[in-house]
Amino acid sequence: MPDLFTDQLSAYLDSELDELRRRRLETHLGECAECRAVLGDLRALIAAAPNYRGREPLRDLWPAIEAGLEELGILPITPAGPPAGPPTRFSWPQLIAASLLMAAIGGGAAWLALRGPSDRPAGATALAPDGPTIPRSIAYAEAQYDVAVADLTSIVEEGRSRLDTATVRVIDESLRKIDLALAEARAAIQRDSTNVYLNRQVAANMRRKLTLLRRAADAIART
Amino acid sequence: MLLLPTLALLVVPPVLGHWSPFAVHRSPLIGHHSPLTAQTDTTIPVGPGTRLRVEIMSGQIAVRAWDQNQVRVQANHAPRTEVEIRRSGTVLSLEASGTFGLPGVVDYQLTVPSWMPLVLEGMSATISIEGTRAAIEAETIEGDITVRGGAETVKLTTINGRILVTGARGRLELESASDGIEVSDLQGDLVVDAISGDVLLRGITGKSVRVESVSGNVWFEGRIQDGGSYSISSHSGNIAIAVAEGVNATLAAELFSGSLRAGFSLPSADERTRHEQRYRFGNGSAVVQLEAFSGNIELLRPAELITRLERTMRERREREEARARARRDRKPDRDPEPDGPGDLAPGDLSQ
Repeated sequence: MPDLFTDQLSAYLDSELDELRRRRLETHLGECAECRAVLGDLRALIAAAPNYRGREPLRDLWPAIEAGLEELGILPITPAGPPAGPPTRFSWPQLIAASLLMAAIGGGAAWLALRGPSDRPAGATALAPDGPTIPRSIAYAEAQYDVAVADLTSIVEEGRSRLDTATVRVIDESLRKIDLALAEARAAIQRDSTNVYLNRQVAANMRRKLTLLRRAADAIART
Repeated sequence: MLLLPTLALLVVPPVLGHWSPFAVHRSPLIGHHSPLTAQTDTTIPVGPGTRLRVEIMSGQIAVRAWDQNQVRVQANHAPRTEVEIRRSGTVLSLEASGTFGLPGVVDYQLTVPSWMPLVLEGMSATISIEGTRAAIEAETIEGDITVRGGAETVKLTTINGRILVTGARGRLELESASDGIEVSDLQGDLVVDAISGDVLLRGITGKSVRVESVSGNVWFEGRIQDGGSYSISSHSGNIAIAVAEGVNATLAAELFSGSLRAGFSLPSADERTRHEQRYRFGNGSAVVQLEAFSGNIELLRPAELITRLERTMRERREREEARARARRDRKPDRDPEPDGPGDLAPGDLSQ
């Protein structure tokens, strides 16, 4: 997702790109499945917003997600009817937040599919602290992300003896490198909070960590 | 659904050439490593549009192409492991099952029509494919993946293993957590996601290239086409990219603690901030975005980059051959020295 074109998707949906940028983005969309997926997600969010009436949560994860979405305005929860005001716009932090949220929900879903709802590991619901320079939408998405990471980490911890020791070593080392990259990028964001590159790096490495954990958990499940 | 009978015909002594020391030594999944004394050998006719799906827990999948509309399945496996061959709609699938639980090691030698799309999955499996001209999807947790050929979309994923692709025609999507990725002679777009291994790209002809690595070095030699999009990012690794004379590109380099070096005279910067430098070559129609947090970025002419890249590849192969010899000799697993310090890393300004 994090590439040269992602931050143009929102403006593209609002028909606010100039001709040259629009053509370049459309060419890119033809070639980039990930950007197409993000665009599809954004379209789905916009399409769902006017019709969303709320529903009973299926799992204990849902209320927090719903509340956060409402609070942030990522997905306006309003009665059906024509949207009022200007078209929906997504800032770069909101795009990152939406992307992380979806990744986190995916991670949580993987865990729920493998485990019952009652055996969530202690501390799995701990929220990430809101740092003063972290945009609130990202902080919220990180909280959901932390839950998914904790869930998947517990699966990998419990099942690591079922994987080859060399593979476990690679997974541990990879996670360590990702965490280090995340820490360095976050530290740099403290000094330069609007830097798009750093924000993309954080989002990319968070997703990468989730993907790796999910893959490892899947491998354990297959044994 | 046509269920073809499983054939476990011949009892043959283990053949070392088919035996996979990689899989047997590295997999804890198989409680006992039975010798691969049973052999399956059967040939199945297939019609155009048929896809082959293979799943194994441990062993190897070696695929070659031929010009017949048939799939030949040769497999060495333990006597208590059976190879099930099923056909469901347009999917021909091979799956091993064990008489008492988990299947043992299976070493497949498959010969398939060159047009046949492949879906190959393994837990502890080395996968090699040669000569096909169709889509490939291959995933393993531990094991290398080697592809010569491939077309349409080629998607390869390994956690603990290396990916090598040569001569693909189509879109490549590659993911590896360790041991690195090598691609040469690609005509098509490329997406790479790596964590720690080096990414060596040579002879790339595509309009969209996206490479991301956490700590690996990235080398890119290919044609930067007008209107194309090329994005290379490594958090702590170095990046080296070949920029040919006469290229039309807008190149942006984003650096934090590293530096940018060019092996030729750069035009004056369009923009220069504390962390970003932007240059315009020719009419600037391609977009080249290079990002390194703590690594360096080098812009080189193709000849210089190729020379260094070839040396790196040669040194790497020599190390791997030495490791393979050590494994074959059943020496204790002296864990390989990590790639990198021994390599001629791109961005190492002293080189």
